[in-house]
Formats: sequence, C-alpha cells, structure tokens
Amino acid sequence: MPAGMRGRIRYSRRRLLGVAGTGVAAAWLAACGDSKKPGGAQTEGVTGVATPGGAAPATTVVQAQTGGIFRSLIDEEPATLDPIAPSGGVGAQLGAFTYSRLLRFKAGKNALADGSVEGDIVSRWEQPDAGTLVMTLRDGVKLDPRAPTNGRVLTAEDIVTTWETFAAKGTYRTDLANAASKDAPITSVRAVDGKAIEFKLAQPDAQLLTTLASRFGLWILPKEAFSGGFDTKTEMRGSGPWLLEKYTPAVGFSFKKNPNYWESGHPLLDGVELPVVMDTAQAEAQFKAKNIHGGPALGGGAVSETNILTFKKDLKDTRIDLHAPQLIGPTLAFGYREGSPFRDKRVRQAVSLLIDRDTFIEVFTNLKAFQDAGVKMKGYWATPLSAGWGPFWLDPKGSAFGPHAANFKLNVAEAKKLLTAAGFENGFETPFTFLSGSNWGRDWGQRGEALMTMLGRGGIRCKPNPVDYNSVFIPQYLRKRGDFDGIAMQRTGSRGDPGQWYSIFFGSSGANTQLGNMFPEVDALILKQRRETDRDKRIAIVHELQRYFAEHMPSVPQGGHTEEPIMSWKGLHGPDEYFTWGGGDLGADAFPLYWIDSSLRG
Amino acid sequence: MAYLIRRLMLTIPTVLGLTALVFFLLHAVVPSDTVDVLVSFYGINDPELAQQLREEFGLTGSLLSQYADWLGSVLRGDLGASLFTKRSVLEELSRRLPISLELGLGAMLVTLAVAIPAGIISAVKRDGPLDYLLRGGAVLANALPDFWAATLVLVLGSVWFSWAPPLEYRTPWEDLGEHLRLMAVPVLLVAVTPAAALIRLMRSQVLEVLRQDYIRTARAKGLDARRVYGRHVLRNALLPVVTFAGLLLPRLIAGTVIVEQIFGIPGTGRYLLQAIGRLDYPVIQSTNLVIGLLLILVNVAVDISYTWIDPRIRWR
Repeated sequence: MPAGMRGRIRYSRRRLLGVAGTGVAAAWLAACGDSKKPGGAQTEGVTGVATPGGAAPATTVVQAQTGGIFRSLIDEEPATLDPIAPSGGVGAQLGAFTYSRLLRFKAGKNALADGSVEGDIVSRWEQPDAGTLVMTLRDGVKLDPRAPTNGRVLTAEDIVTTWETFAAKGTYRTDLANAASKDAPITSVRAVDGKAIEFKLAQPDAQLLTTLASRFGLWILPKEAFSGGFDTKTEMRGSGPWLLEKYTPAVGFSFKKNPNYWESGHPLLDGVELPVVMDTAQAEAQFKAKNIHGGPALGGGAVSETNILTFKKDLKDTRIDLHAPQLIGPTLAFGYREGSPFRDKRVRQAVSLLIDRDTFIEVFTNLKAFQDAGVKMKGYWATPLSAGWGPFWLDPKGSAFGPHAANFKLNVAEAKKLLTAAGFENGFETPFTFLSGSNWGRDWGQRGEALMTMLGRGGIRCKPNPVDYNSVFIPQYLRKRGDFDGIAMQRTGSRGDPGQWYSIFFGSSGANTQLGNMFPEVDALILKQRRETDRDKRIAIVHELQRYFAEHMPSVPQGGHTEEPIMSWKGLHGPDEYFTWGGGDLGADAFPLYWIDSSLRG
Repeated sequence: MAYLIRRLMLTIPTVLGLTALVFFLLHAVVPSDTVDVLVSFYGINDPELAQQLREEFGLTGSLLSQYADWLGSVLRGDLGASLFTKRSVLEELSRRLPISLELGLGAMLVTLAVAIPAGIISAVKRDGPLDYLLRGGAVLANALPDFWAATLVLVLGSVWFSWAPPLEYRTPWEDLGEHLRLMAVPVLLVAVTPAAALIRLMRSQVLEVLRQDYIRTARAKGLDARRVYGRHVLRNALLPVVTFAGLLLPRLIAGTVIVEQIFGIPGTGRYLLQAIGRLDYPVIQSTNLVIGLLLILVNVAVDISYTWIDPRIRWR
C-alpha cells in the first residue's frame, strides 16, 4: 500500500462510536469454519460465547438476584413514544419496553441466537391453509395497572384495533399490510373469539413471522390508545415487561418493572433508567463514575470502541462482552443514469476490487489493538449482508462462496484491467457523495476519504460532495432509486429479517432501494426466498443472492464488521450471557434478563 | 416615554420580518419537509401515508396561507405544537427557556463579575506583569471553543478526579444541591469566552476614559482612587460594555446548545437544534419568534439604560 495512502488513512483513523447492537456472538464463527477455542475468557474480563455444545464459559455461574435499578442510556431524543405512527428508530426501540409483540426472537443463552421465533403474547399459532394464520393469545396477559387500562386482560379485540390503525397509518405498514403493498401478506385480521385472532394472507410469506417478531413489525397497543384514552405520543400503556414511570423530554426515561408481566419471574430488575446522553465524553465519564452500568444501549454503548481498551486497563472491575456484528450495512450506491459508467458491470467490479477491506475494517474498528490485547475479534467482509445475520451470511473468505468471492479481494491490477476493458484506460472522474453531518456516525467523513483514496489508486478520481442528510441526501439520493450521478455512500438500516432487508434496500419496489429497476434478477431472488417457507432452502436462496451481488456488484459493500465489543461493570450480569437476534429489542428481549449485584446497587 | 413607545411599535414590523424570513427560507429553500423526515425510509413507497400526514400537519395549502394560519394562531396566543411529539411549543418553552435563561444570566453575571474588575485592573496596571497576564489569558480564553473546553473538563475531570456531573437535570425545587452541581460548571464554561472579550473591551474603554481631562481634574481636586474609578471612570467606560452585555444575553440563551448537549441540560438551544434537524416547523418558527422578541426587548432595555448611565443622553 502506498505510504501516502496509509498516511491519509492514519489521519482518518477515527473509531466508530459503537452503535448499539445486540445479537449473536461467536457461535457462528464455528459455522464459518473458525477453529477458535469455544467459550471462555480470552482476556481477563472478556467473554465470548460458547459454541453450541462447546465448553461452558470461564465466567463463574452466579445466582441471579432480583431487584435494583439498571442505568443504561439513550443517545437520541425520540420524536414520539408511539411505536406505530411514524417515529424513527429510537421510538420503535422504546416501544419494546412497555408494549408487546405477538412473537419475539428467541434469545441465546451462552449460545447462538439463530433467528427463530417464539410467542410473546401469543402461546401458539397454526396455519390451517396457505391463506390463513390463526394465533392464540396467552392466558392472562395483563395491561398496565394504571388508568385507562387498569390492569385488564389484553384481548383479541386489542390486536384487531391495533392492526386497523397500523394498516392505515403505521410507518412500517408496507411490510405487512397487503392494502398498502401488494408484496405484503396480510389482507385482513379478525378476532375469532376473545383470545384467537385470524390473519388472512394474500400469499405465503417466509418473512411474516420474523417481521411480526421484530421491532419493525406490529407493536400491540390497547384499544384505549385509539379512542382517546391516552396520548400515545407522550404516554405508554402496554403489556410489556416495563411500565413507563416518568419521561422528561431531553432528560430521560424511568421504567419500573411491570408486576403483571406475563412471563413470571421477569424482569429480574426493579427498573431501568435511560438518561438522554448525547455526548460520548459525558457517557464515558458517567460510566467511569458508575452512574451508567454499561451493556448494550439504545444508540450506542457507554464506552466508545476507541476507549474500551484504555478503560479496561484502568478500571479493574469491568468486562468486555463480544456481541454480534451490526446488521447495518454501509454500501457504495451507484448512479444508474443513462451514460453512467457504473451501468457497466466491469466498472462496478473494479470499484469493489479497489477496496482494501481488511485495512478498512482495521482502521475503523481498531481490530489489531483488540487482538493484541487478547480479545478474539475478527473482521468479516460484508456481502453486503453482515456477518451478524448468522447462517444467512455467506463468508466470501470461505470455500462455499464460489469464484466471484475474488471480487471482494483487493486487486488493483485486475481493477485497472477491467476499467481498460470497459473503455476507461485512463480512469474517469466521478462525484462521490457522502453526509457532511454525523447522522450515520462521526467517522463517516473519514470513511469517505479513505474510500476515495482507494478508488483513486485505480484511476477512479472522486470529487468529494458532502451534503446535508435531511435537506439534500434524502430527496436527491436516498429516494432517487439510483437516479443520480456518481457514487453515494449509503447505509442500510437493520431489520428483523434478511429477506426484508434485501427487499427494502435492493428490491425494485423497496422503500429505500439503491437499485431501482436495474436488476430484475435481484427481485426474482428476493421473491423466491420470500415464498420459500423451508428455512434451509431459504438460507440457500439468500446465499445465491450474495453470489449474484458478488458477480454483478450492483451495490458495493464498503468493508465489513467485527464483533461489537460492549463494556460493562462486572456487577451487571446479562450482557455476558444473553445474546439476542439482531432486529430484536433491548427493552423486551435483553433487559428483562439482566440483573445487577450489590456492587452496582445503592 | 414617547421614545419607548416608538421603539416598541417598531418591534412589530421587525418581528414580522423575522418570522416571514424564517418561514419562507424553511419552506421554500429547503427541498424536503417534515413528512420526508418522518417517513424517510418509507415515504417513497407510501405516497398515500405521506399525503395523509401532509394534510394532518396543514402542509398542503399555499405558503402564504400556511404562514397566515400560523401567524393567526400566534396572535391568539397559540404557538402551536410539535409535529412529532404533539407537545405544545408554549409548554416546552415555558419549561426550557428558564433553564436557558438561568444558564445565560448566570454566565453573564460571572462574565461581568470577572471581566469588569479584571479590565479595570489591566488598564490601571497597564504594561505591567498583571496587565500582560490578564491580556494573555483573555486571548487564550477567547481562542478556546466552548465545546472543546467542555469536553476537556469532562474528560480530565473523569481521568484525574473520577468526577462526573450529575447525570440527570433536576430543577432547583426538586433538588437544589444537584441542580447547582450540574449547572455550576456549564455556567463557568459558557462565561469564559465572553469574559475574555469583555476584559479587553473594558481595558480599552478604561484607558480611553483615563486620558480625559475630567479625570485629571478629579485627581487634581484630591479625590481618592476609589471615587475616581468608581464614580467617574467606571460610569463613563460602561456604555459599550452595556451594549456588549445586552447583545450577549440572547446569544447566551440560544447559543449554548453544544454545552447543553454535552452536560445534558434541557435548554432552548437543544430544543431548537432538534427541531431544525427534523424540520419541525411550528417549533422552529415559534422558538425563533420568542428569541427574536427577546433580542429586540433586550436591545430596547439596553438603549434605555444608556440614559441612566449617561444622563446627557436623551432619546427623542
């Protein structure tokens, strides 16, 4: 690598601030052929996750204790507390604290969470025919004891009224409601009796159950929410594990344990506090002072990846837990206007061949420093699917990927050959658009700089074009379906289901598609996996999608991910034992399982 | 009195101009709107939902009619509600403005308490070691961005003293001790830059006054230093300082957003910044109106105060 470029990358060596993610940890490494020793601490106070059937982790098993208040944080002010109406990511995540879903993702205990679902407020479901799904509510799922719900039992009628509002104006209605999108499965919902709900389906849909389990699906509100009983934008009355005790805008949230929660014995904690902490230095100072206990948080862990190792050295009673790589996938999207050089597959392949993914991962995650400190993290190339998707992700470094895996490897000479063959012997100039703000991370600009430098080595001379997210990027790039000039750095969000993720960000009718109508084969594969209800066969189709992307590079993944290191005080138990599926939720899937010992109480 | 009435009457076209400028810049120049931000990931595929929201938010009429509607509500005392949270802007500002006022006024008091005596001392000890120290310190302090200083205080406080400010904001009525512990450091930090500027301004003003004949006369009459400086120098040097302080206050109230963000203070600056990020029109428009009014009223108060400081000044 030329010294100049490494110098620039060294200048641009900023660390990610640690976007929150909970998810699957290292068991999928075994699925990728990793032969690392299962389980156990690699460094004192570092946990990984035992591979299935492997040795138990080295941490001592301690009896869980009930009580205490867990202090996490939230790094963004939610626009609204309503999880149905347009609310943005944090609003939906907050819904998980007090509202229930019909289904939820099974958490893994010292083991892989494989993305399978189980009932949340639903005890069982069946499909008597391809067009019908019947779900039965658990007995005695009670709502918030305060007015207007007064602790009454949740009924099928609540499900139906929630559905009607969701189908009419829910932010994510196009994923479920056939009336809003012909690709969505549910045509109608009715209460069969007080506990049974019947869903009529337009077509079989492998994404249906996972969408219902994810935070982008259907949060169940009591019918009082829709008849003026309480203002869903500022109050919460649900059947979830927590009750919202106090919310002060710009200050924070206090949740207390729901005494009527259907899952007896949970939550273990008496409450959770989420102060609004928007500044990294403040979050880290509060963590050091034990005012924040650590663990995964809404929007980011308390300690940034940049400082985790320093904190580990200075603070003896802390622990680093490795959670799954984020599901968020940064990509380079191409403008596909007439005459665009990126309409030529060879040019797109050349772009991919010019990206040094291992260096990119190293620079922006400080991977080597973690490895030198004994933390067994690895870098995983995105395809653009992230390794956090477990069995759905196909490792380009593995033998099963096929010949087009070569398009992920740095090869400047081959890139130049492809550009020459495409008629760009002397390269070409192109606009390179990226966010000027920190909407997608504080190091987004540095990432852009690094990528432009890499592309420059092959003769693709990028003209930097920093733009504002709301006023320019959304209308002129994000929503243009490929109708723009040059390259745009994009970031795909997380979802509960990989097929849903592909559909939204790459399908021709996807709300945020980067490809528009350019790649009908992608649509065909997305639809094929959506109609395949056999899980193994569906995984195979998603692998096929990744091979297609590798060959055609309709959108080029920027680099990849590592496991996400999360720091906690040792007195916080849970982040080292429970690993939830990405697209699940901390409030509902993780925090009810956490507990704190006496070192963090009082 | 006539002057006062005339000045207050002039605020009406000024405020109208300000609100119109903000409104039309927001709507006409920024290519996206609130609904685009609300449904940014789904709007393109759900035009029906987007249209529903635009109708609900009153964004479908002409710009002129939207402006007239908003102005009409304001004249009826209704500053509107956030399009996102549905919380009343008036309620939010009632909660947040006093916090920002406290931060701003506190910083201003510290600024005046430190900068005025320091400026006088610097002038009196002109070209001496104390003068160089104060001037050098002022230049250094002026160069420090407050957000950087705030981060430094947090980081060094944490590293050296294991210190962290209180995590959650509490009003003085909830817990006075916690409240003061949270606000003390931000107030001092916000005061640093204006105090630095004011020290230098005060120094130059005092030097200017000290050169005047009436000061020589006062000394020649045998007045002691306290009376010379307190009665003659200070009062004559204060006019530009009052102007400076008057212009400073609205900036301190609305411009401390970064310090508010770092220390978790729920002030007006943060409120406005979030609203701008979301294109939350009623919040942006109404908050700008309130801050604009505040600035205008402070300017009027500053003008009136001149007549008290210098009786020779009479407004016609």
